[in-house]
Amino acid sequence: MLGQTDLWLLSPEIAMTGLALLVVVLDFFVKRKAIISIVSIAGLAVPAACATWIAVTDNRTITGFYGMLRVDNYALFFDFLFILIGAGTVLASYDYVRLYMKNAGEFYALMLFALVGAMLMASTGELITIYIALELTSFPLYVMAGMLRNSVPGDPGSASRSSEAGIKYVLLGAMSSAILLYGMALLYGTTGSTDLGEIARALTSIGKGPDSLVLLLAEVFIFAGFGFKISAVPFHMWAPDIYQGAPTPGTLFFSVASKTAGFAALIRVFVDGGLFSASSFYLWGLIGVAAVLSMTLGNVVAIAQTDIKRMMAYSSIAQAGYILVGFTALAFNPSSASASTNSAMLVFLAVYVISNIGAFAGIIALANATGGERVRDFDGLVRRSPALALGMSLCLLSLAGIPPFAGAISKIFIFITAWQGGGFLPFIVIIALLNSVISLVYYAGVVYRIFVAPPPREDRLRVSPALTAAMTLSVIGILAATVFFQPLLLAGKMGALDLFGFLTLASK
Amino acid sequence: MAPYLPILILMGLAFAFTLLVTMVTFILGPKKPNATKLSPYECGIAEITPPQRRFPVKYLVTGMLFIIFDIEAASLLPLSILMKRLGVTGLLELVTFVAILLIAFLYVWRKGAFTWE
Repeated sequence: MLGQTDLWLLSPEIAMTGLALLVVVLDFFVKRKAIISIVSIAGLAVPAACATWIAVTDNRTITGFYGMLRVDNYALFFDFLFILIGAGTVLASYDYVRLYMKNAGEFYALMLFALVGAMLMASTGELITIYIALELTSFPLYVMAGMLRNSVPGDPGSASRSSEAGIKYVLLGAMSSAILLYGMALLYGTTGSTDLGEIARALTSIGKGPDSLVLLLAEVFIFAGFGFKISAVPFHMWAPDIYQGAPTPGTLFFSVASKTAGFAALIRVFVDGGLFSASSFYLWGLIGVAAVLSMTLGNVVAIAQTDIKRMMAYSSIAQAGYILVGFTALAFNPSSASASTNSAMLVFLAVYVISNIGAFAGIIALANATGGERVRDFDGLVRRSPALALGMSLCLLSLAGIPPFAGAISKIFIFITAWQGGGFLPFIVIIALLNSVISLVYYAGVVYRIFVAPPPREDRLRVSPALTAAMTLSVIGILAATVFFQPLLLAGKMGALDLFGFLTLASK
Repeated sequence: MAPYLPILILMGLAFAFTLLVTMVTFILGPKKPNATKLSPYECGIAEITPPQRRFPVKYLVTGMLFIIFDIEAASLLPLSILMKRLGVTGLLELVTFVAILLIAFLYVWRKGAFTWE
C-alpha cells in the first residue's frame, strides 16, 4: 500500500511534475509569455524545497515503493544539480524562445518533464524504473531538438536542420534504448531480479562459465546504452549534428541534462548493481578504451570546427571522456576505496554543468545580438560587449581546466584519484593530461578571438537581462565552486559514500 | 536437444523440398515473356493513379491520439475491478491519473488536433 513516506521521498519529482503540468495549463490561458518563464523558474523553488526538506531530515528512510525509489545523498546531489540546470536553461532560453519559437510554454513544459525523468533516473535502484525514467528524459529532448519551426533570421537553413536533428535524435535514441533494454534483459536473465540490490547479491555467487559471458554482454550493452546518453566514443555520432541543428537553448539542455542523467544512472547501475565487482572479465579495459577515445577524438576534432555549437559538442564528448577516466578507476578498483574517485566524478559533473550553462548563455547572447553561431563571430567580442566577453572567457577557461578556476581543481582531483588506483590507470591519466593540453587549442582559441582579433563591426551589443542573469549565475557558480571547493567535495563524497555503503550493505 | 531433433530434420526436409520444387520449375518451365505478363497486374484495367499515393497526416495524429486514450481506458479497467480493495488511496491514484490525462486532453483540444478540416 502506498505510504506517506513513499510520497514524501517522491515529493521533488511530484512537485516537478506538478510544475510542468501547471506550465502546460498556463500556456492555454496566459497571453504574456514572460509570465510562463517566470512561473517556470520560480516554481523550481518547490522541488528544491522538497529536496532540501528530505536532505535535512536526520536518520531518514531512503527507500520507498518497495525499494524502487532510493533517495540517498547521491540522488539528492543530482536532484539539486538538475534543478540548477532547469534554472540555468530557463534564464538562458528566455529571449531565444520569445524571439524565435511560437511555443514558449511547450518548450518549458518539455524541459521540466525531462527534468522529472532525470531526477527519477538518479533516485531509483530498479532497472525497469531506470528505463522508464530514461525514456521520460529522452522523449522531451527529441521534441526539443526539432522545435525550431521557423528559421532564425540570418540563418535560412536552421528550421530544416532542426527537423533533421529531431528525426536523427529519435532514431538513434530508439536504437540506444533498445540496446540498453537488451542489456537489462540479459542482466535480469542472469540474476533473476531487476532490483540493483538483489542483482548485487546474486552476482556474488556467479563464477566463471557461460553465465559470466552473458553478464559481460549485459554490461557492455548497458554501457553502450548509457554511452549514447553521455555521448562517449564510439556512441557519440549523434552529438555534433544534433547539437548544431537543435535550437541553441535545447542544445544547452542536452549538453548538461542528458549527460548528467546518463552518468547518474550509469554509475548507479554499475556500482549499486555490483557489476564491477562481479565482472571476471577486463571490463575496465573496455571502459578505459572508451575514455581514451572520447577524450582524444573529442579534443582533436573540436579544433577543426568552425561552428561554435559543433565545437561545444566535441568539447562535451571530451568532457565525458574525462569523467570516464574516473569511471575506469571505479571499474578497476570497485571497492569503497574508490569512493573518492566517485565523488571526484560527481564534483566534475557539477562544475561542468555550471561552466557549460555559462558558455552556452554566451553563445545564445551573441547569436541573439548578431545572428552568428560560428567561431569567428566571436572576433573582438571584448570591444563589443566587455561583460559578455569576460563571462564567456571565464566559462571556457573553466571548461579547459585552466587554474585557478573550479574546472581545473575538479579535473586535477579526478586525475589524482584515478592515478592512485594503480595498474594501468597512470597511463590513462597521462593521456588525459595530454588531452587537456590539446583542448587548450580550441578553448583558448575562442578566448584569443574574443580578446585579440579585430571585431567585424565597432558597435555595442545589447545583452538582455535574462541572459545576463544566466551568465552571472554561472560565473558566480564557478567562483563559488572554486572558493568553496571543499564543501562541494563533501557533498559529492556523501553521495559517493551512500552508493558504496549500499553495496556493502547488499553484499552482507 | 534430443526431443527437438525430429523437428529439426522435418524443417530441413521442408526447406530442401521447397528449394527443389522451385529449382525444377525454374529450370524446366517454359519462358515466353511479353510486356503484359511482366506488368505488376496481369489482369484488370490499367491503373489510373499510382498506387503509392500520399495520405493526409491527420490520420497519423488521430491514430496517435487514439492510442493514448485507448491505453488510458485499458489502464482504468483493472483499477476499477480492484477499486474495493485499493480503497481511498486507489481512488486518489485514479483521480490523479485521469487529471494528468485531462490536462493532456485539454492541450490537444486547444492545439486544434480534433478539428478535421
